[in-house]
Amino acid sequence: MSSVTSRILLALALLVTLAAAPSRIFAQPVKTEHVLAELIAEQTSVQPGKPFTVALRIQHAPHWHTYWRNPGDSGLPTKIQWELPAGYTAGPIQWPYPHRLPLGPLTNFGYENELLLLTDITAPANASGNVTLKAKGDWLVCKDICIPEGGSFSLTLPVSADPGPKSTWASVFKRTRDALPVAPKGWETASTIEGGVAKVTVKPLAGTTHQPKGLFFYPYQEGSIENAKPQPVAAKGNGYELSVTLMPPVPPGMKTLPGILVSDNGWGLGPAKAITVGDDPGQSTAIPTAFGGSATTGGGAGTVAATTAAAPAASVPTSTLTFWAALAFAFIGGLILNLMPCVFPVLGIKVMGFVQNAHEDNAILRKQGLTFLAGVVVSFWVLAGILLALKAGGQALGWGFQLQSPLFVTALAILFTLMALNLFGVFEIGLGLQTAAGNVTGKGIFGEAFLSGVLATVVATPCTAPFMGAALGFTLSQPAHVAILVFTALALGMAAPVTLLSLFPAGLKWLPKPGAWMATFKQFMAFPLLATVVWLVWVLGSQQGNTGVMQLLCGLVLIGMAAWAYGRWGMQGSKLATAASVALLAGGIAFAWPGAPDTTANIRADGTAKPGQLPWQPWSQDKVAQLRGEGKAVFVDFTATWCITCQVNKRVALHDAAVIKRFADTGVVPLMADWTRQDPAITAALASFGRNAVPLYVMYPPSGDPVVLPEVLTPSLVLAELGKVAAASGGSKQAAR
Amino acid sequence: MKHALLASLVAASVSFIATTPALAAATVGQAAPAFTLKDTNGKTVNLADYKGKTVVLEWHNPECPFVKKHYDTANMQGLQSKYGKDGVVWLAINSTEPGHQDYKKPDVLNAWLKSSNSAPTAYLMDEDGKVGKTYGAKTTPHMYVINPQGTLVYAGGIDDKRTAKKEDVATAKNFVSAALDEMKAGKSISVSTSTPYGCSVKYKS
Repeated sequence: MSSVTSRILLALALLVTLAAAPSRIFAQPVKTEHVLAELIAEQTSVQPGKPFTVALRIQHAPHWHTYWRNPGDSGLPTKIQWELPAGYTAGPIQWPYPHRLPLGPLTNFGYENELLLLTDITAPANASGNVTLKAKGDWLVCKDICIPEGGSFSLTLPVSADPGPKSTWASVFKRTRDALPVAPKGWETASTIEGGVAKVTVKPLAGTTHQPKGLFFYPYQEGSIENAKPQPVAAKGNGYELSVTLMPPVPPGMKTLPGILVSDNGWGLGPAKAITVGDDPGQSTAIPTAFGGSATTGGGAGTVAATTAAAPAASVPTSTLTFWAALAFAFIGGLILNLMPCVFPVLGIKVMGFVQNAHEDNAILRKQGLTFLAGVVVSFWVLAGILLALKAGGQALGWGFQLQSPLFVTALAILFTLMALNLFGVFEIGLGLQTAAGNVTGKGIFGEAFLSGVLATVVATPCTAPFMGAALGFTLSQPAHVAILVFTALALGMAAPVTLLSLFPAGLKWLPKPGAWMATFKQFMAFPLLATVVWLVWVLGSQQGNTGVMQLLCGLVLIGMAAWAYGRWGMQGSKLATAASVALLAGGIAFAWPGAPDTTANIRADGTAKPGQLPWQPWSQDKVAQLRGEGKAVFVDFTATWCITCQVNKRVALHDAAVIKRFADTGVVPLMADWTRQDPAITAALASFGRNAVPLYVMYPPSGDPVVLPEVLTPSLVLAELGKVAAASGGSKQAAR
Repeated sequence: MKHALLASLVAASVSFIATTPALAAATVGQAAPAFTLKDTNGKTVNLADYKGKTVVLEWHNPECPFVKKHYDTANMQGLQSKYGKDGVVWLAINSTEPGHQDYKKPDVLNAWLKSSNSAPTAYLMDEDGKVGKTYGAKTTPHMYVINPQGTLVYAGGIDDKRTAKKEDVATAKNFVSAALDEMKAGKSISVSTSTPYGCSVKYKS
């Protein structure tokens, strides 16, 4: 790529990014490999001097779990550390009752599926304006294996005297409240220690007739009981007594065992299933010790300074995004797509069609415009459907995924080559563009309009990545009907200019009258298409290597010959020539058909510096952790060959001579995560930053939270970030003693 | 399917618990249960071989983030070499069942020991989990200290910072080194049990 081209592309990318800036207000839950976590509020506003409830909502991947305040035999309780504006205070986590999670001979206490950890926050009496609540969450998520994860969250709410409506989360909050342990109204609970066993008793008071079932006692204190042991229940008077085996050695002086008692059918106290036994000692998990020792440790809410360990924390843009705003931004995003370099040639052809038809029948033009619209909308639906279906099936794909398939890239290259040859006039198809001009009533023109809508969408998606990634990542995390509507708005936005022109052909008056210039224009439009073919061949090269490129180019030559033979003789009615061109076409396709991927094609990230490049090393999550463990800062470039913005950034900013030198000076290790081909690990890493597309640039200081850089880089920006991280790592070395 | 699986898992664990004295049978202040295991080089190791020496047992699984916390920071290797010089025997024990994704064959573990600069006296394979269950080992790491007379004198977590964060190692109170130092100085052990923390031991269900 020449530097002129890269500058033009950079300018375009900048323009698009700036224009699309509002889309950044989309709320980003923190999406890690195993949970989706977000900060949510029960109310839509905050009242001065009043408490309100917020929650860390954790949606676990199927069969994964996080832990209760007493995690049982292994695991860790989830922690939330609040950073609140002056005057605001946060209470402790209100834990819903947990479930038993047996694991071989061990038993843990925790949660699967959807979990809300409630916290009451009180606003000061003089609160006004908007309030932004920030929190860091840390959790250990386990299935057969355990992963420590975490994230930074924030939530902005308006302050107003009028409570206003409840948020859309209100019903989930209610469900969670129903699962909180309550005082044993109508019951008397107690616990005593008898040798190695705690006797937990519950007696109905006069007037209570409810009969609880399936009793299980969860102590607050970690390590106090044999968690996996059954708790035999015996009738005692008109009540019940549970024998809970204590973990030896039983600390001398232990008199009671406070905790919660869960009954499968509740306690006749409304929906509550858990009642308290004894007083809550507070949420620090003191470790019981024998022989007079003492060892306590933090473990409750808000006691641990949080920096995320293995999982990267995403910084979360704040928002209480309304559904309508999402639709509006999607529409604007769609409009901007019309300017993208990969969409432009397709639209050029479309506009040319208008030029040809502008002075014909307006009704036909209108129908054609609407058909184009339908093509775009249907394609977006199909894309959304595929993504949603794959997501439901647990597959991790990202936006622009179709370009990760060599077969798709090959097919697109062949199609674009044929279209270019068609524009050059090498051959014409029965109801092709040219004949259509004189035969606008033919059905073919609608098929053509529909297909150009499909084509525009398919080639547009990779271009959307830079600024749509975050928004689409969010969209795909929403319920299917919301996602489909957002995609529809996007499609309408993209189809709007062409459709509007066709509906109001008055706008076409500025276009010159048809004439000889049209043949020139038509032929000229073949060049952007050929340029697109060049780009596709390059994409294929990174997937399939040199051999793959050679096969595709040979195939294209044969296909070109087929087009020529058909145009030269076949169109004059020579059946032999038509047959020959079909044979050539088949041969060309067979030749171009991608073979097994060339695994040596992507060895660019091999840790050795080539002149004018950074010494890229291949990325892995372990590698990041390992390097940071060694006290090194790490820069990760999430990239793909088919991502033009990525290439522009690399050329303009990352491989700038001053930047390369600064990388070497600061010792920041550059890692490349190449998403050119499908890679679940990279898809998961992107998701952990709430992204579903490349580019993504992340600077990891040796300790502390990673910093996400903008999608469009400049040398000075990268230099500044490198300076910051160098200063920070100097500082952290001191802090680490 | 899911329920059937869960039910059989529960049933299996209940029947297991019913038939074995198992978990938490090793009690501080009493004789450490005897065991014989093969190490990663195929050599048979018997706890009784080390009578007269202080022995540390470390339940281990290289894939566990809590174990990584102490190895990536060289904390565990440091303890192994420091107390190794004092004649303390350090036995790492792996009770991961062969069907689990974290399971590693002896030669893989030997390579891991080498690459991580770890130097336990021996690394023992407890694939059926018998020794782990006898000691009541729940987590990786789960630490035990046995005095020269064969009495269990410490059981529990490695330190008081119950996290997987590497930066917490520097500020944590290490219960194992405290116990070993106090034994060496002839003092009584101030903290002799604590609740272990870490990943669950990947026992056969």
